[in-house]
Amino acid sequence: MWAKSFAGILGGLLISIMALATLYYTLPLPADAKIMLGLISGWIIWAGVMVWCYSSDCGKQAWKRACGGFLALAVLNTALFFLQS
Amino acid sequence: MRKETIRNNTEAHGWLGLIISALLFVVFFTGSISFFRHEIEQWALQAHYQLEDYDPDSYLSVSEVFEIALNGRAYNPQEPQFIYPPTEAEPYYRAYVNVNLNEDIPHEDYYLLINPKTGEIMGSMEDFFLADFMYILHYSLNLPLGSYLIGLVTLAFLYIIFSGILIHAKDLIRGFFRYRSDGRERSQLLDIHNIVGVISLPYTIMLAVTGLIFNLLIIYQIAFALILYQGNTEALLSDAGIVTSSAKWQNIAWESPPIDELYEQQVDRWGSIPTQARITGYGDHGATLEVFGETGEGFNGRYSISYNLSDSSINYSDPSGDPNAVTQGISVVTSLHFGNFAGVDLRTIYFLLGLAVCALIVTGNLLWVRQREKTLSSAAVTFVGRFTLASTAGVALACAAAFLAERLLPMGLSDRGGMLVNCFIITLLTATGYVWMVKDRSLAFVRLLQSFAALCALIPLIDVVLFRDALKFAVSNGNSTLIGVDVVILGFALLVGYISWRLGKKGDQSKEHQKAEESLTHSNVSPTTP
Repeated sequence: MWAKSFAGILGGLLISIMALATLYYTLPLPADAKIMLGLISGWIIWAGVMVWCYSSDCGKQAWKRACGGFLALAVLNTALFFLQS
Repeated sequence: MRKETIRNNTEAHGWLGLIISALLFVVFFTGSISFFRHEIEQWALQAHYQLEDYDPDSYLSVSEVFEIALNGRAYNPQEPQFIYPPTEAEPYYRAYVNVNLNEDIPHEDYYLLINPKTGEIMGSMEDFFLADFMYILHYSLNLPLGSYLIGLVTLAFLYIIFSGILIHAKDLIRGFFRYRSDGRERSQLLDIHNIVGVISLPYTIMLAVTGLIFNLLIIYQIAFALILYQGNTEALLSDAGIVTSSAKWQNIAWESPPIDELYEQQVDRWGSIPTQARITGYGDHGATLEVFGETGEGFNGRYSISYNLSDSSINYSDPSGDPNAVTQGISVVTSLHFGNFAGVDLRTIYFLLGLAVCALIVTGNLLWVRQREKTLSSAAVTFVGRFTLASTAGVALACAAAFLAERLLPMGLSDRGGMLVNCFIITLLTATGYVWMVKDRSLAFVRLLQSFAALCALIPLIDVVLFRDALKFAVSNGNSTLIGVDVVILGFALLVGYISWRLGKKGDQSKEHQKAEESLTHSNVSPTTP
C-alpha cells in the first residue's frame, strides 16, 4: 500500500505537470486560458493517476505505471518544445 | 473492468479514507459552519454592541476613518492599511492596521471596530474570533503550514471520490434508490454511505478541486514558472493577470490626497459600497489607494482599481477591456467554493450538504470497522472506533464549546480570542480522554451527543438571560441575525437531543435483550451443570 501511495502521489504530481505542459504546448488558446485550464485539470489528472497506481496489483507495477507515464509525456514534451522553438 | 482493479481501489479507498477521516471531518464540519461566517460574526458582535440602523449619509468619510485608525499607532507606512466600509449587514467601519513589527504592540491593536458616526474605537475585532477561528480551522487547522496539510488531505479526498465512483459505478443509479431498512447494520451503513456519496458528488468534486486550487496552488505555480516560463516568474504573473500595487516610498509628505474623491468615484460608478479600501505608503507622496468591490454584474462580478494618490493616475483596473482568464477564473472558483453567488438559500444547501459529507465520513469509518472486525485484532478495531468517535463527536462538541465560550468569556479579557481557542482545545481533549476511558463506545457516543445538545441549548438560554437588551434591540430594529443564529443553534440542540434520546433508548433495549438472552442461556445450561 505504501509503495502504491508514493507512486500515486509522486507519479501523479509529475505526470500532471507533464500533462499540463503538453496541453500548454498544444492547445491553441491564449496563455491565461491555458494557465487557468491547467489549474483546474491538474488536480483531476493527479487524482486520476493515483487511481491508476492504486489499481495496480503490487507496488512495483504502480511505480512502473507512474514512471512509464512520466517518461512518455516527458519525451513528448521535449519533442514539442524543440518543434516549437 | 478487472475485479482486481475494483478490489485494490476499495482497499485503498477504505485505508486512505480512514487515515484522513479526522482532518476531513474538521474541514467539512467547520467549513459548513463557515458558510455563515458573517452571520456568526454579527451574532457575536450584536450581543455586545447595539448597532444603530444603517445610515451612510451621516457616516464619517473613508479618509477620516484612516486617520482615526492610524492615529497614535505604530503602523508601518510602507505596508498596506485597510478599511472595510460599513454595509447594511455590518453597519460599522473595520480597520486593519499593519503595525510595525519592530514595535511591541499588543495584539488587540491590529483589527479595530470603529463607530461610523462618531469615530469612536468601540473595540477590537480580535475579541470576536469565533467566526474567523472556525474558518481558519477549516483551511489550515490553525496550525503553521496547516494549509498545505489540508491541501494534501483534499488531494486524498479527490482520490477517494474518484475511487468511490469507480467502485460504485455499476450501482450508481440503481443503488441510489436502495435503502435496506430491514437489513443488517452494515447494509444500512453502506446504503447511507452510497446515497449520500452520490447526492453530494458534484458538490464534493467542486469543493475538492477548488480547495486544492486555494491550498496547493503553489505547486503548479512553481512547476509552470520553471518548466513553461524557464524561471521567468514575472512573465508568468503577468500572463496570469496578477498585478500588485506599485507604491514606491519617496519620503516626501503627501499633500491633501484625494482619497474620498477617488473612493466616491467608485461608489458612483458601481452603485454599491466598496468592500475594501487599501492605502499603501500612507502619508507619503508615492502612496497608492486601492478600492475593491462588487460590480453586481455577471457571475459574482468583482472590481478592483489602484490609483496613485499624487496625481490620481490609475495603476491597474479590473475588469478591464482585456479580461484575464486566470483572474476571472479564480473569481468564479472562489464564488463556487464559498457559495456566495445566490443568497442565503444556496448557502443553506451548501451547509446541509457539508453536514451530509460529515455523515459520509462517519459511515465510511464505521464500514471500515465492520468489514475488518473478523480479520483485525480487537484492539485495532477498538482504537479505530474510539478515534472515529473522538474526531467526529468530539470535534462537534468542541465547536459547541467555542460558541458557548464566545458568549460567556467577559469582554475586556486579555487575549479573549486565544481563550476561545483554549476552550475548543480543552473540550476536544476532554472528549477524547472520555472516549478512551469509557468501555461502552455506544454509550460514550450518546453522552457526547447529549453534551453537544446541552451546550447548544445553553447558548440561546444565555442570550435570553444575559443579553436580553440586545435581543430586544434586534427585534425592534428588525435585525434577524442575532435571533436567527440562536434559533438555528436551538434547532440543532433539539434535533441532536432527540437523536441521542432515540439512540440511548435503542441501546437500553439491546442491553436488556442481551441480558434476557444471557439469563435464558444460563437457565438452559443449569440443569446439566453438576
